[in-house]
Amino acid sequence: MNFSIGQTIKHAILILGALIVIAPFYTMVSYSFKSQREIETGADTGFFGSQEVIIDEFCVHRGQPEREEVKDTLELYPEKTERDVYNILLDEVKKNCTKKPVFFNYQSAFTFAPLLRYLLNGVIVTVSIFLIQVIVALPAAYALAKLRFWGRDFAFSLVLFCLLIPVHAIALPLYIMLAKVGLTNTYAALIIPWTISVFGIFLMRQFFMTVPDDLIDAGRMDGMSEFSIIWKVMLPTAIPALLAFAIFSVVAHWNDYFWPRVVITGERNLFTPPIGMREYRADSDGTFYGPIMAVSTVIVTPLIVAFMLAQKRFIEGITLSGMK
Amino acid sequence: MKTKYLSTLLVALLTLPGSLLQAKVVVEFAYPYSQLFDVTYEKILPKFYEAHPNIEIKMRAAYENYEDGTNTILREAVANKLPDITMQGLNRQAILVEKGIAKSLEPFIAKEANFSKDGYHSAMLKLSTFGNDVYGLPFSISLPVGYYNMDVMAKAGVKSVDDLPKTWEEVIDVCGKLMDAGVKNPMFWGWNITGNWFLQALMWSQGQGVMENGKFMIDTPEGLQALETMKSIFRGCKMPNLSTSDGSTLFTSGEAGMFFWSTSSVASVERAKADFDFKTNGITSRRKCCYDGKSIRRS
Repeated sequence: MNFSIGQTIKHAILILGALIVIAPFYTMVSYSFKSQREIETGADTGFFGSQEVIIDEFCVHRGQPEREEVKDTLELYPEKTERDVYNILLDEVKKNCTKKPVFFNYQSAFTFAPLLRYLLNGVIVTVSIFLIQVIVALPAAYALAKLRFWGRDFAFSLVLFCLLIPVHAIALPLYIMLAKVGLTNTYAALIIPWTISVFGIFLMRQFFMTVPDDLIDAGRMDGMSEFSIIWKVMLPTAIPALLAFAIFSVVAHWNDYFWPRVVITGERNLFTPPIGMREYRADSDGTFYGPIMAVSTVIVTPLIVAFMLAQKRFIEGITLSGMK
Repeated sequence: MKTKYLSTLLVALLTLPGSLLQAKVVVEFAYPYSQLFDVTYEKILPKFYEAHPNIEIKMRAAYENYEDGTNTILREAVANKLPDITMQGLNRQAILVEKGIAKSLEPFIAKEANFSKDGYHSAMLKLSTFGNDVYGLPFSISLPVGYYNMDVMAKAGVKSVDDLPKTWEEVIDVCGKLMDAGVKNPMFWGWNITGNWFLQALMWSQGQGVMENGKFMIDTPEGLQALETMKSIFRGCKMPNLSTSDGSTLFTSGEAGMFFWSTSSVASVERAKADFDFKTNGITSRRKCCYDGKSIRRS
């Protein structure tokens, strides 16, 4: 291998960038192993923490001896005071509530709130959004790229214009519209606003521009309808671009905190993973960082795995459609 | 054993009318601060069901804090998906009453046989009285309190609880000594929105309510005095502009010597704090005496 200063500097910068990007992930995974005390005091206990046994306060509160129990026990030890008996019983409870921080964090991740349900909701919402987006975007992109009709350029400039509208700007009217038709706290509220993805239309249109017209003409000559051309000819050629779009779409909606937070106000069963995480927050009255980080780790894992699997296709897709 | 017999009898009496009714009444309910109240409600529910078997409580997702609670209710009011009962911060009731979202409890109270003897003291009910109607019932209350890290305080020569600062001037004085001893962040004072009752406390302690006839009374000598006091505390202690939870972490990590906040955080501080001697103490006001018995009535 030739040694080149330029290459070395380039790689050094890239490695530095990668470290900056990975640092929060490192902290997240590391915190998911640690106890509240280690996290809040910033104790230097390494990546896995000290794993010193902690007392699960919730478990203690749940098992707190009831008055009746104290009275019954008091009858057995008449020489002791009520307070003594209470403390003895409480110590017994505490003994059964000790845990290693890593178990406490991951166990509360799944028991404190129905995380599996949230993950399922995440899958339902992201998959529905993506499928509908494809059903809308493919024909639209095909028409904008390959068909000649009056106002095509204007329609395309509208698509470009819509790319410029930030969702937060239209969140309020969207919310009111959904509220008026009684759709808040439903799956529909989570899905409908995202079904038309102008980004998807734009991306697919750019890709279809590169598909030779001959392919389409051949299809037409064989008597295919326009729609069967879209689904049987264009769709298979567009798989790499679709995969790239899938990653954008799925990541954006799997991780979306803003919109679910607005439209799902109290229906726990509809929580998506990111707003589910909110349940572990209680402001100054005791946010549980350990379980929150455990939940975050659980939530991002499927995405990272999916990206690793589709990495090559993903990069292909981006270069195919975006760089032309 | 006598008491046990008595309580069973009571339960039997209460279950009787319930079993006659068939359809269950579903009551939707939401509360803030899950870490604080989850176990409380878990323990209350079975007892409530025992007493009222014809009612089913449907818990909605917890609000993060009081602000989130009010925001959520306002949004749900637009969508017409309000819960039946919600737990709100004391100082956020007015907006819900003004918008007609909160409903008067008077018709229900009128149906209660022994309401006044059930533990609802009139002074407590006044906190949720608007006009002549009661809109809410008190559930939990916390008070402003001083949290002290005695190990850090020792650096300023404060060795025992008796030496702890008694006035805000003394707090500022201790701050100076701590900073001289190398403590970068000596104190956090909960000024943030949920903690604006510290402002209320500063004004009430001078005999001036925060609101009077729908007007914010900051434009009074007492209001000015309160703001001046806050300014001197913030400047004198070089207090960073943190959120309350970050402020609490500043204290639990063992950095700050003093943390002025609600009694409700004692458990979470106890749970998360570094290894130091932790004490709480009351806060005294600027002036010696304060509460004249009128302020509550005025609110």
